[in-house]
Amino acid sequence: MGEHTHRHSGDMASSLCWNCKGTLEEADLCGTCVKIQPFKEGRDYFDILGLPHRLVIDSGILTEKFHEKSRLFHPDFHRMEIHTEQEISLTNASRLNQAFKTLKDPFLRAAYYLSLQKLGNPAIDPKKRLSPQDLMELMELKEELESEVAIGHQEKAFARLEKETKNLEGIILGNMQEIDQLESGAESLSPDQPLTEETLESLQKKKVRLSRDLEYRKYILSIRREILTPATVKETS
Amino acid sequence: MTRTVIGIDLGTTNSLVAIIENGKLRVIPDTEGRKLLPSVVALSSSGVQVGFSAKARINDPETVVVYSAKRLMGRSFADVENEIRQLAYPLANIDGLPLIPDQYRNRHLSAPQIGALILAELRKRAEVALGQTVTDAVITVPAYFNDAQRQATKDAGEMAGLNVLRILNEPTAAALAYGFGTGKDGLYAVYDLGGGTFDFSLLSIRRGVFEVKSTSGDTHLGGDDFDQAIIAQWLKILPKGVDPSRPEVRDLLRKEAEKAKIALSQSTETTVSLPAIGFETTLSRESMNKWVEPLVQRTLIPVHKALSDAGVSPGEVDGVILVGGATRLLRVKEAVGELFNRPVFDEHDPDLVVGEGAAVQGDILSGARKDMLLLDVTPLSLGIETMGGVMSSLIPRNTTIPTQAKELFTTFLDGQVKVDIHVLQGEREMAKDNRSLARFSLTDIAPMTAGAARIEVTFTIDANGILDVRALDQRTGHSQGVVVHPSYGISKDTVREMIKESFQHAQEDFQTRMLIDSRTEATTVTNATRRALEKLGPDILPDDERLVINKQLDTLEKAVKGENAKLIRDETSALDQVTRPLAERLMNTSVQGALGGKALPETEMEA
Repeated sequence: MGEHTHRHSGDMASSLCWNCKGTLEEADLCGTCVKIQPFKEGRDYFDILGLPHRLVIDSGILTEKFHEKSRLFHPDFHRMEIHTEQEISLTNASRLNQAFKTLKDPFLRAAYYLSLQKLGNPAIDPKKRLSPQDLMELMELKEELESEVAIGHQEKAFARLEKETKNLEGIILGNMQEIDQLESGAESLSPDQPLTEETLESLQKKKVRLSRDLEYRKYILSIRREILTPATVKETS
Repeated sequence: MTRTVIGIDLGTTNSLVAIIENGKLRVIPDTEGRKLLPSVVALSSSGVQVGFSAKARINDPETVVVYSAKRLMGRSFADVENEIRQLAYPLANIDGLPLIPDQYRNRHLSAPQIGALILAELRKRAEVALGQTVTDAVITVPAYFNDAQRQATKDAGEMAGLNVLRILNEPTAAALAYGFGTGKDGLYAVYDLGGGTFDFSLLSIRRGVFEVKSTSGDTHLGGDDFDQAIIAQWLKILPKGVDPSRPEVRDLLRKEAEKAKIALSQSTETTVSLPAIGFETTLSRESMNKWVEPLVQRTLIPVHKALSDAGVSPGEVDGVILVGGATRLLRVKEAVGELFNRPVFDEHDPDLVVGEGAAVQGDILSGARKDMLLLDVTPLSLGIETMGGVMSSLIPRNTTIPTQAKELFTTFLDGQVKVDIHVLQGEREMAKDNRSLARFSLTDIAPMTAGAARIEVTFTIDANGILDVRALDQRTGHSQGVVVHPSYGISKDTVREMIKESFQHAQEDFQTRMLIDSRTEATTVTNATRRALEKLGPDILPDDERLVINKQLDTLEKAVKGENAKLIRDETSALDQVTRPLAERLMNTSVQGALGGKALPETEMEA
C-alpha cells in the first residue's frame, strides 16, 4: 500500500491514454507514447503534486515537486506539439500553479485540507460562519483600532494588529502540527487497529478550532487592510 | 534540426536582436558592427527610415521623427495626453487612439506599426547574419506592462511578419541571461531602470528553474525622466530670449543632459556648453544627485511592494542584478547597494542583457534546451466588474502563469439572451479606478427564466501574460459565443487589416530589394566584362564573338536603367551564356600557363 491510504480519489488505475489509447501505468504520462495526460476531475492539489495528504509539508520537498511537475507540463516544453497536447499542457500547468500556491501557504493549505474533509463533517468547514461572540470581539477590536488611528496613533494601532496577527498565526501553526502528529501516528498503525474514541474526539476538536481560527484570521487581515490603506496612500504621496 | 528563434529587446530608446549560436550568446550587429538599433522611425517625402539614419534626421524640419513610441503601446489618447508635450512629433486622436500622421503617404501610423518597422529592421539584420529567413521570435516587454500593452507588442511582431512565440518580461530576461551558463542558485532581485520604464522583480533560481516570486514597477519612470529633471533646473537659468518651448532647444538640452549624466558617472564635475543658445554652466555630481533623488526614491516604492508581496526582507536576497542604461548612474547603484547591502551584478552590459535573455528563452522555446525553465507571474490583478461598480478579483497579482480562473454567470431577466462581462486589470477597489481591458458579451443564450442559465467562463492568462476568455454552457456542454470589445488598443479586425497591409508593404519592399540586388549584380558583371574585353586580343577572342558580347552588354545596360528586376536578371544570365566559351578558354589558358604549356586531357580539365 502507498504511504497515504485514506485518499486516492484521482489516481485511479486502468485509465486510457488520450493519444494511443494504451493503458496508463501512471497518471501524468503515458508510458507507451510518452504524452502528458490531462488531470482527472477528482485529483486534488496533493495528488497533482504527488504529495501525501498531510497538513504539514516540508517546503523544500514541495518546491522540488512543483519544479519537477512544471518541467513535465509547462507550455514552453509543448510548443511544437499538436493542439490537444498544448491545451492539456496549459490546463495542467494552470492547475499545478494553483496547487502549489495553495499548499505553499500554510493557512491556505490548512483551509484547503479541511475543505477536503468537510463532507459529512460540516463542523470543520472553513467557510463556516464565525460565532456571534467572535464577531462581536472583532467588531470591538476594529473600533478600538479606528479610534487609535483617529487620534493619530497609527503606529500603535498597527503594532497591536501585528501582535494579534502573529499570536493567532502561532496558534494556528501549532494546532496544525498537533493534528498532523495525531494523524500521521494513526497512519503508522496497522489498519485493523482503529484510533481510540479519545483520539478521534481530540482530532475533531482541534479541527473545529483550526477552522474557526482560519476564518478569524481572515477577518483580522481585512481589518489590517482597512487600517493600513490610508497609511500607504500617505506614504506614497 | 531546430529552427533558430531570435530574441528581441524592443526598447524605448534602443532595440537589439540576439541569438544562441552553437550554445553561445550572440548579439547580432548591423553591417557596420553596431549592436544597438535606435528605436527611431523617420517619415519624410523620400521614404521611411529606421534606426541610425532616422535618428540623424531629428532636426530636419521636413521629416517627422518618431521616437519613444513604446510609451504609446497599447494606450489610449487620453492615457498619453500628459506626455505629448515631451514628444516633438505630432499625435492625432483618432477613435481614442494616439496615431502619428504620415502626411507624405496620406495615412496614420499606430504605435504597433512603428514598432513593426523597428522589428522588421532587426529581423532583416538577423536574416543577413544567419543567411536564412527568420520567423520565430521572443520579444521583451516591461514586466509591469498590462494586457493591452502586451497585446500591442505582439501585434507589432505579427505586423513585422514575425511569429511571436513569447512576450517575455524584461527583468526576467535579464535574469535568464545572468543564469545562462554561470548562474548560482539563490534568491535574486532585478532592478531594471530603462529609458522609459522601471521594473523590479524577485526570483529564485534553483537547478535551472527560474521562479519569479513577485514583480512590481512603474511604467512612467525611466532615464528620460532623469534627463527631464536636469533640464527642469537648467530652464531656470537659461539666457533671456531663448524660447524653451522650441523643439530644437528642448532637443539640444536633452542631448546635453544625457551627456552630462554620462560624464558624471566618471568625474565629479562637468561643463555644459551650448553655444547655439548661449548657455554655459557647470554641473557637479552632487547637484545632479540632489535633483534626481526624488526619482531614485520613487523607484524604491515598487521595490518595497515587491519585497512585501513575496514576504522577503532585503537581507534574504543573495544578489541584485542591475539592468537598463539608467543604472549606470552612480546614485542609483548607491541607493540599491544601501538597501540590499548585497553584491550588485553589473558585469553584463545593461543595454544588452535583456535582448540576450530573450535569445535564451528563444532557445528554450525552440526545443533546443530542456535544462532551463522559466516560471513567471502576472504583474497586475485581473477581475470583473460586479454590482455597484466594484472590482471582484479573479486572479491576484503575482500569480504564477499560466493560470486559469472559472466563474459562473447567469441571467437576471426572463428571456435574456446576452450577458455582458467587463474585465479589468489593477489593484484598486472600484472598477473605474482600474484599467478596463475589454467588455465581453456572452451571446446566443437560449431564452429561459431568469437565473436558469449556467454559463461557465474561463479566464486564462497564458505564459505571455495575455488574457483569453472562453465560455461554456454547462447545461448543454456547448461552447458559448464570446464577443470581445477591447477597451484600449486596436480591435482584432484592425490588427488583421494592418497585418495584411504590412504584408503588402513587405511585398513592395521585397520588390525594391530584388530590383536593387539585380542592378548591383548586373553592374558588377558588365564592368568586369568590359575591363576583360579591353585586355584581350583577337588570338583568344575572335571579332565575331566580341561583337555578340558587346551587343549583349548594351542590352543589359539598357535593362539596368529600367525597373524590371526579372528582365535584368534574364539579361544578366544571357550575358553569362555568351561569355561562357570565352571564360572556359581563359580558364584553360591560365591552367596551361600554370602547368608550363602542357595541354591537359579533356577529362582531367573538367574535374
